Amino acid sequence: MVINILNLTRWEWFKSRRRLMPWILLAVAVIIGQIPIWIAYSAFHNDDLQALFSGSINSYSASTEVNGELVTVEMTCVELVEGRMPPELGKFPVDERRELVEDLERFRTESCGGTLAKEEYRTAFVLPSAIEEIFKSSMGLLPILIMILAASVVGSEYGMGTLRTVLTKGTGRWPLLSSKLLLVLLTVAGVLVVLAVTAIAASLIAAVIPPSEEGGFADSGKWSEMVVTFGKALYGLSPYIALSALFAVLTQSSAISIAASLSYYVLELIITPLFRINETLEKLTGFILGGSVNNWMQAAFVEVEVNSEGGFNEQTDLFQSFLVILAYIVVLSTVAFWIFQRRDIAGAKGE
Amino acid sequence: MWTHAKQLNRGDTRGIPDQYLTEYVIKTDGLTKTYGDVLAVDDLSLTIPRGSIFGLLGPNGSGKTTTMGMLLGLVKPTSGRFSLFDSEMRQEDSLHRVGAIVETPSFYPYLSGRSNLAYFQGITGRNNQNELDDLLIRVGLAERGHSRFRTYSLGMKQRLGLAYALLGDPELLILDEPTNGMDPAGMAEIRDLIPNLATGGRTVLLSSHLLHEVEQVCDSVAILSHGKLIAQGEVSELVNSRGEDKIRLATTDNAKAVNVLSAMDWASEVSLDGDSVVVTAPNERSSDISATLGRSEIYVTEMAVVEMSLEQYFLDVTEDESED
Repeated sequence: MVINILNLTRWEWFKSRRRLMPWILLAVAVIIGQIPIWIAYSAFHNDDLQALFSGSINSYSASTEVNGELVTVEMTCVELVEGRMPPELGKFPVDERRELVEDLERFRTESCGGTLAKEEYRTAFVLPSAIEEIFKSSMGLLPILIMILAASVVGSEYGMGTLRTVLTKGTGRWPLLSSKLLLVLLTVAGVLVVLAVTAIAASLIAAVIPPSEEGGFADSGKWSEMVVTFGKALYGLSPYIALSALFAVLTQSSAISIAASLSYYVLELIITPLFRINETLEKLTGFILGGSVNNWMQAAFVEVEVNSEGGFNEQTDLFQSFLVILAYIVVLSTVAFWIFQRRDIAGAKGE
Repeated sequence: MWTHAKQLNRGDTRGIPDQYLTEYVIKTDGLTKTYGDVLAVDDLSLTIPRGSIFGLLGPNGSGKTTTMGMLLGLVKPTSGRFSLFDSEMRQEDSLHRVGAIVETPSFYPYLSGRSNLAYFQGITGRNNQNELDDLLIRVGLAERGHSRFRTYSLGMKQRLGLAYALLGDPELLILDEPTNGMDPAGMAEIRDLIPNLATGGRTVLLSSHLLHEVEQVCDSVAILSHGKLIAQGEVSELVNSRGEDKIRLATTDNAKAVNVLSAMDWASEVSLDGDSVVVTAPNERSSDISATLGRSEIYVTEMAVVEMSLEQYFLDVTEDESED
């Protein structure tokens, strides 16, 4: 059985690599994956862009009379999160200086929430954290591309009528669907590797062409963490493969299954904030696929904290996300296999 | 009890060892398929012996393709059972010994004909480049083997389908309308090819609307109508089973000839068919027909014995079934 599935997967790849669509999807993933790297690079080297990309262009401005002289203090959010102090600070007496610092701190907390410090931008384009960043930033796009790919790999067989031709060779339905899902999973792994390679290439280019002495080849994390992040990304993306496969065997159409999968994805994006309005419904958001995948990916970048009761908040969330994702994978795949096993296979539908 | 269908006596060894002739390659027992209220195949019990070329005939919607689909694991039977190769092996394993074309064969349009064959060979765990070349030559696609499937004409697609069915030298070939879309020359080629395929114990199950083709290549046939098996047997037996011959004649007064001949007790049926009169009577009554009409001053200008063909037999039995 296993050898049969592996052989079928090999031959799935034989034909998939001759299709244009997987390569187009890969190109889209690579190009879009580069965007956050170069935004971070630009923001790191340009304060205005840093403020703009942070979505925060607020600035603090206050005038006061010090020793009969009107002193105006102006600080941007970028300057504040970088921990810079206004040059006029020295003109203030000690008491007023403390008051001004507290005021600036209050402003930073209230108005500069979205502003990232330069060092935070830096991590997005220096190795190895650039890899982590590219995985993280791709988690919005990759599910969409993966759903298109999975729906196409499974659904196009119905459209072309080739499912009949394949099954009459005695491949067996279970092994055939397994091989298709395995192929998509391996393709996703391949895409993540390609993204990592492009992140490395971009980081090297960014290091070679710095407009200032900053940047360069600075080390910003552990390489071992990248492997963990790779595995987490692969796991987090798996339910989307199962989701699309289910829609494909259900609708027997690649086009309809793509539409259905994307609709589900968008629907989740809509209902999640709506659920947060209601206290009861808010509890359900922990069981929504998109939210769980986000939490699963984000949790990797958050320090584990001990809560007031001595528990580990982040680990608890992480474990719940892990289970929710696992449940989606198991349930969606099981239903997909069950339907695929039982249904009659009709001829070409002409898609 | 496996089947009530008549066992076939091929009488043609084609070099097949005797022990193979006693084996059944396909057995169905009460095979039934319904789609909602529609009964597509109704309690079909069929046996097909090894080494035969077996025709599955029937009008559109009679259940031929559904039956083939069930044998190939594409359609789940509602009830009944079947076996391939008279064995208890899993259907997937049995299918490794089967080559099939069901309706118009579907292949990957973005792959060449050769790559398509390579793929279908590969998924069965084999890798034999020579076989691919040989098959492409055999079906006349050697020169277009590297062209993409989407550029093929319907006839070329059908040929590739035949090459696909022959991959792995299967013991059983299931061919659903293999000449569909082919030009007359292509049809003749396939017609000549099919008897050559049934060598070394290989069995061919063939469905076709072209009854003349079937009559030429098949040893035995089964005829389905509304999903039911209405006749099964050797072609020659079935054709001769309808008894009396038909004599077609043209006279100087066809209408009067019908009246005159209808009065003869040896003519079981007399009818006007266009410009001729068709008389159902034994061949040896030809001279009686001429004499009887002559006495009534009706003169025969043409006369021919209508030989019973599979096509005529098919039309008769399916018509009878419809009337029932």
